[in-house]
Amino acid sequence: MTVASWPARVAALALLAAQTGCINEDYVFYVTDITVDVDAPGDGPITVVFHHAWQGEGVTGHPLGPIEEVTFDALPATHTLSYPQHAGEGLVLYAWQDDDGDGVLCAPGVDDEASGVTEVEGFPAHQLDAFVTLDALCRGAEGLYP
Amino acid sequence: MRPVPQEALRSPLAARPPLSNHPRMLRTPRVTASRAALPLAALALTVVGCAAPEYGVEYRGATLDVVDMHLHFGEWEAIPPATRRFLAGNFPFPLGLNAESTASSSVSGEGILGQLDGAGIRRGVLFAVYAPRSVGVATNEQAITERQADPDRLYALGSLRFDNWAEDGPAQIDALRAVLSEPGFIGIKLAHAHQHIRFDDPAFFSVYEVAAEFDVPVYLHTGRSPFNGTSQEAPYTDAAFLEDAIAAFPTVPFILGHLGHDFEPDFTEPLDTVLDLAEQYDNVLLEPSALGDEDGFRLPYAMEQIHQRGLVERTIYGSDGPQSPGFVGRYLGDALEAMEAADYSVEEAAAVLAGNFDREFLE
Amino acid sequence: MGLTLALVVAASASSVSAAPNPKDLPEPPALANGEFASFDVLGGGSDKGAWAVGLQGGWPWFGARFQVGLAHNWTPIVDLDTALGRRWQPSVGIGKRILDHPRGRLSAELLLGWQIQTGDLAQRGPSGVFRLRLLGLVGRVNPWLMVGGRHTLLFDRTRTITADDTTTKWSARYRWSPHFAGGVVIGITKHVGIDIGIDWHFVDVQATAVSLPGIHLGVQFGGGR
Repeated sequence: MTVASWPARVAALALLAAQTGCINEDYVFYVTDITVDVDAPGDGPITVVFHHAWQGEGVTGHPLGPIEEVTFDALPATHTLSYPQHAGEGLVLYAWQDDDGDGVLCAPGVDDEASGVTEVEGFPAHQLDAFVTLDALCRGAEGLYP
Repeated sequence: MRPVPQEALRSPLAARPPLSNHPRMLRTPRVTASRAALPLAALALTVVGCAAPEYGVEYRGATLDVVDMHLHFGEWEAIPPATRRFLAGNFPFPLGLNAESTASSSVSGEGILGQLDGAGIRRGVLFAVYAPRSVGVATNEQAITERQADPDRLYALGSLRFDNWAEDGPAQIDALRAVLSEPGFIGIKLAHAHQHIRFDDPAFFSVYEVAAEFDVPVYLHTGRSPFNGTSQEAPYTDAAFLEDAIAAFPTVPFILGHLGHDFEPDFTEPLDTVLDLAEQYDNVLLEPSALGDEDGFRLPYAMEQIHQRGLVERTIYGSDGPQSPGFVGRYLGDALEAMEAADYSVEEAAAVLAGNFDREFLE
Repeated sequence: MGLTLALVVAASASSVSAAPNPKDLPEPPALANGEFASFDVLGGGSDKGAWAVGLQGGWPWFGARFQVGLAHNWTPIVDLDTALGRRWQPSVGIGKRILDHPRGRLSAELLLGWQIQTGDLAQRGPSGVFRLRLLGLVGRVNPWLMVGGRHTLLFDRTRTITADDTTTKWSARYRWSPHFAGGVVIGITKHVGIDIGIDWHFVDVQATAVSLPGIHLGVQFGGGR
């Protein structure tokens, strides 16, 4: 008698479970390589926050919803994003430049750090380009989109 | 609304006896009936009806009026699914199985009045909130409805949505103006961390223009929140980022809710930021809600600092209830103990509990 | 020698009479272990050919149970519990008396089945429970105690879509729910009885803050005895 390995047993049980409808959380991640570039007035690192363009439905539906935050020392750069399809739709990039290196966009007494937003066209696709113009000062994503 | 952290459900605060057993609380008059007196008591009740609850709390021998200026109402379906799961998971089993029913009885106007009655609180303020990414939506229209449970005892603060501001902003401002014209609406409620708007973004300052126009205070959530979907970043939570707005609108009272509490073990820095603003600007007010913790440190420390720095006249009591059955009364009891420990006089306690509210909102 | 032997025999006989064999203890009048359907349900295990049904209702747990005795007290069981109609735990399994005494009974049960929970805390997955049941036999009114633990797996699926293919990964979360119950059972007749008890299920201890105790009233009936 052949003794199946435990991963195979777990897989078989999981298959049976799926067939009988016992999935609890059902996550779907769409992987995309995004080449990000910006037009920024300053010299500091650029922080990019990848957002859903829309999340939720009904009265609790809303624009934006952060997926991942990445800080780039140099651009253009390509980032591999695991986009959670189960949590929203569309893709928006919000970017800001940290000229003073304090980790925060602007602050009391600092009002000249730039930010910008763009909705990525062509999404979903496994390879994308996104360009963000940082032409607003001290604005959060919610102040720039939609 | 800030939830009671899980550990607080098991903390001495949560295990305290109900407020009716609190040594400082006036109790609703009890009818003790022996077998012989029972028929007489029943007859008396049919003639005179049930006695009304008594309002007021006892502090150093005086009976003080209380307003709880921070109360949440709402509908379960208007809360985002992730937050519903979070809240339901915090309910004791099996109450979380039917969380909507469990919550609904507490967050209606009648339910809130019940908690106020149990705590000896005469008046309360309902908060509209538009936070679809975190705690959900409780509309101005619903606030109008819930106030009808007892319009003489319930006030409301109106609010507005910011999530499509470029397009909807003017309409939202008009709607805010309209609701401030409704009876019982006495101010504006904002929650930047929940609504994802920066404290220092001038694009949203038109709200303060409305506050100045209607001569009403603005209540602002300061500090972080443990709810899913809230912003944790400094421009949305740190009260220091509010200074531009405070300075730009000197006639508008800015009520800094939660005193900047950031859910870190050390409360000193965010509290100092808030108290510094209150010392520097005459239009800054303070509200010490949702400061409960397992060690019982934050609320007493905050009330002590307020007293030491001479900011009692700027402080308005609120709880951030109803949260759970009996919370409104328990938090009031904790606040009374904190003021006692910080040696608040009767006059000072009266100011915090109701006097400052009446001055800022009703005069 | 003969006198010594006689004394030893007499001493032995005396010691036997001072500590009677438990099996020789007279049974309570009109009561025999295995005779009452209600005691089978609350104490676990049934004699060969005897069947019993238990129904309970209260707060928050409702339940239904069917068992039938086979040889050597092996007892197949079909079980269904629900809390407020929102958490359902159907199970089938087997029970057996471990200790059988005129004054009491200890039995063990192992059941496998499913767990379905609806609402905002919806979850579903295979579930198993192991229980010990202890019943005292002092007359028609007897104390009972149950200790158990339910183990549930909640399966999650993660699909990753790349340019080349779509991969699917399964993972499982484990939930443990120990529970206790105890009360009093009354054998009205051999075929009908009632019980009242307190139930305390510590549901999903890793995920639920606090579990409240409950109470139930049960009725049992059976035959084949």
